[in-house]
Amino acid sequence: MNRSAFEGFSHSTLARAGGRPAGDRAASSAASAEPYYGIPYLKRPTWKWQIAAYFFFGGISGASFALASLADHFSASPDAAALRRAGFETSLAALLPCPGLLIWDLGRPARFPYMLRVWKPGSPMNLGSWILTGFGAVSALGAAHAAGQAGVLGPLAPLARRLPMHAIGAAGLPLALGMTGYTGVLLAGTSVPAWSQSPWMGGVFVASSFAAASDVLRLHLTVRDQAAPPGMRALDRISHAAKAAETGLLVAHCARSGRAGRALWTGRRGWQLAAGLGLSWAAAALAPAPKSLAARDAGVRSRLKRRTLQAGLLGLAGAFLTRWAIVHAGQQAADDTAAARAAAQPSKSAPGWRQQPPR
Amino acid sequence: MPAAFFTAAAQPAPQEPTGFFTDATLCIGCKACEVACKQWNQLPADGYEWRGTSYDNTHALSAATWRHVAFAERPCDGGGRSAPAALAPPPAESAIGTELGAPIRWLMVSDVCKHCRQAPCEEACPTGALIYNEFGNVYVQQDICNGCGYCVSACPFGVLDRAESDGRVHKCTLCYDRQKDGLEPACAKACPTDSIQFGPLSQLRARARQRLEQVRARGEDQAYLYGAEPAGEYSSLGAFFLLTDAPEAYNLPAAPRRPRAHLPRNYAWTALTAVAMAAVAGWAFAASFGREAAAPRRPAEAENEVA
Ligand code: SF4
Ligand code: SF4
Repeated sequence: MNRSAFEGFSHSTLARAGGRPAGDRAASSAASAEPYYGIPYLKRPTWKWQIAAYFFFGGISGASFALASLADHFSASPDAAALRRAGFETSLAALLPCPGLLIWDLGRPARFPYMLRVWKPGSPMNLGSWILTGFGAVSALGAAHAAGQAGVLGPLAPLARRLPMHAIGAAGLPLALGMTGYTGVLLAGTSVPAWSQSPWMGGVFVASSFAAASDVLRLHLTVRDQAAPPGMRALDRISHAAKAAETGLLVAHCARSGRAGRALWTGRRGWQLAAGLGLSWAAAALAPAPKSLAARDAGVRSRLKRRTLQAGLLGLAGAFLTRWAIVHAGQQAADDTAAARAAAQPSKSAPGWRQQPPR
Repeated sequence: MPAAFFTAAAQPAPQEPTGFFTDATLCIGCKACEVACKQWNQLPADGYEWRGTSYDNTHALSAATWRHVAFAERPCDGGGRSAPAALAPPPAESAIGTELGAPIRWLMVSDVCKHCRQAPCEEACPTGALIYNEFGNVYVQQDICNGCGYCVSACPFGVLDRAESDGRVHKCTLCYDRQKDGLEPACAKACPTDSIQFGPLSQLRARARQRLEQVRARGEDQAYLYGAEPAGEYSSLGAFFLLTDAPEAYNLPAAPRRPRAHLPRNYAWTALTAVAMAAVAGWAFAASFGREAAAPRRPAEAENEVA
C-alpha cells in the first residue's frame, strides 16, 4: 500500500496538524487523487505459482496430443509415426503433474472431486474440470499405444498396439484443444482488469500452448535421435505460426485493455512477460534449419543437435515465464485502483447506475 | 440451473426475494452494523488498523468482515452538497484543517455483499457451492466450497475472500439463519437510523424511490439509487444503495461488467483460434511429410517400426 510509511499511526486529524514529515505529506497528497484512500476494492486472485505451472503443463499436454493426432491423420510416413509417438508420450508426461498442482492450489484440497459435482459449462473452471477428466483418459490411451509400439508394456503390448488410435486421436482432438484454451477463458471470465477486457485471452493460451508443444516435441525427437527433416520442418512451421499468433493476440489484448491491462506491460510482470515472449522468439531463431539436420558429418550433426536442445529449453522457459507473468499480473492489476476504475467505466453494454448526474 | 448428480434433500419452497436497501444519507458511521454482524455470525476480529488517513479502520469487506462502513471525505460546495465535478479528488491533505474555508463533507455508507440478482460469483463457481437460496440471496454452502478461489476473482465488487484459517470463502449470508426464523438480519436490526433496511425487494425498491424523491426535493439533487434496477448486462442488486456522490467515492465500481455476458464471445474466439492452429498444424504436416513421403527410411526408424 502506498500508505505503508504511515501504517500504525493513529489519528488522521493529528497527522494533518503537522505530525507528518513534509516528504510524506507530499507523497500522500499525490495519492489523495484516489477517490478512496487508494484502497483497492477488488480482491487479489488467490491463484499462485501452482496455477501458472498447471497452465504450462496442461497446455503442453493438450497441444502435444493435438499435434500427435494431426500428424497421424495427415501422414502415414514413419517420420509422422515417430512424431505421433513423441506427441502422445509428451502429452501424458506433461499431464501427470496437473491434478496435483490443481489440488495443491485449493483451499480445501480434499474437496477436489466436487469440481465434478455439477455440469456447468457457463463456468469455465467447471467445464475445464470435465475437459481435464476426459482428456486424461484419452491421453492415457494414447500413451499406452505408444508404449505398446515401443514394446514397453510387456504382455499388454499387443493389446495396447491394437488400440484404435485414429479414432482415439480424433475423439481426443476437441478435448486436447479445449485443454489448450479453456485456461485463458477462465482468466477472462473474472473481474480482474488485466485479464478480462478482451475476448482473446483464450486464444493467447491456445497459441502459446502450440508454440510450447512444438518446441518440446522438437526437443523430444532430438533427444531420441529421431529428428528427421520432415517432422522438424512441420514443427518449425507450427512453432513460428503459433508464436506469431501468441504475440499478435497478446498485443491485441493489451491494446483493447488500455489502462486496465497495464500490469501486463509495466513493472515486474511486464518485464517477465516481455522476457517470456522474447525467449520464445529466441528459441525460434536459434533452432537450426530443418534441412540442415540431414547433414552427414557427425560433428555438424552433434552441433546442430546441441542447438536444437538449447532452443527447445529456451522455448519452454519462455512459455513458462509467459504464463507466470500473466497469472501474477492479475494480482498486480487487482491492487491497481486506476486499472479497476478503467475496467469499470460506464459503457453501452454496462452503463452503471449513475447515468447522468442531474444539473 | 446446473443439474446436480446427488440431490440430497428436497429444496425449500422459493419465497419472495428479500434484500437490503442501504441509505447513505442516513448513515452516521456508528458501525453498529459491523459489530452486530460480527456478533451474530461469530466472526473473528481482523485487526484494528488505522491508516492515518481516515476513520475507516476496517478498509474493506473480507472473509471475517461482512459489513464495512466506508468513511469518505469529499469536497463540497458551501451548502454541503457534493462538488459538481463528477469525481473531483478530495482536497490536498495540506489544505484540510489549515484552511477552514475549504469545505468537505463526510460521506458514510455501510457496504455489504450486493446479493446480485445474477451474481458473477455464482456463475463462476465450479462446484455449485454458491447458490441462490429460497429468499433469492446469494449463499455459500460451506460444506461444498473447495476454496478454488474463482468467485474471489469473479466478483466485481471484491466481496468474496478466502479465509486462511479454513480454506473456504466467506461472505454475507443475509442472515439466512435469522430469515428462516422470521427475523431480520442482525445489521438491519441494529442500525439505529434505519440506514439499513431489510425486506422484500419489491417493497424496498418502492420505498427507496420515495426516499430518493424526498432527498432530492430537500436539495440533495445528486442522489441516485445504485443497483435498484438492472444496468445493461449487469443485473439489479439484491442489496442496493442510495448514494449522493460518485460510486468511486464509496469505493464501489461505477459500472461493473458481468463476466458471464462476455463468455460466449470468449469461447467463440478461443475455439476459432484452436481450429486455426489445428488447421495450420494439419497443413504443416501434410506439406512437410508429403514432400518426403517417398524418402527412404533411415535404419533407426525401420527398427522402431518393427519393435
Ligand atoms: S457482490 Fe460479489 S459476492 Fe455478492 S453476490 Fe454479487 S458477485 Fe457475489
Ligand atoms: S471458492 Fe468455493 S464458493 Fe468460490 S467458486 Fe470456488 S467452490 Fe465456489
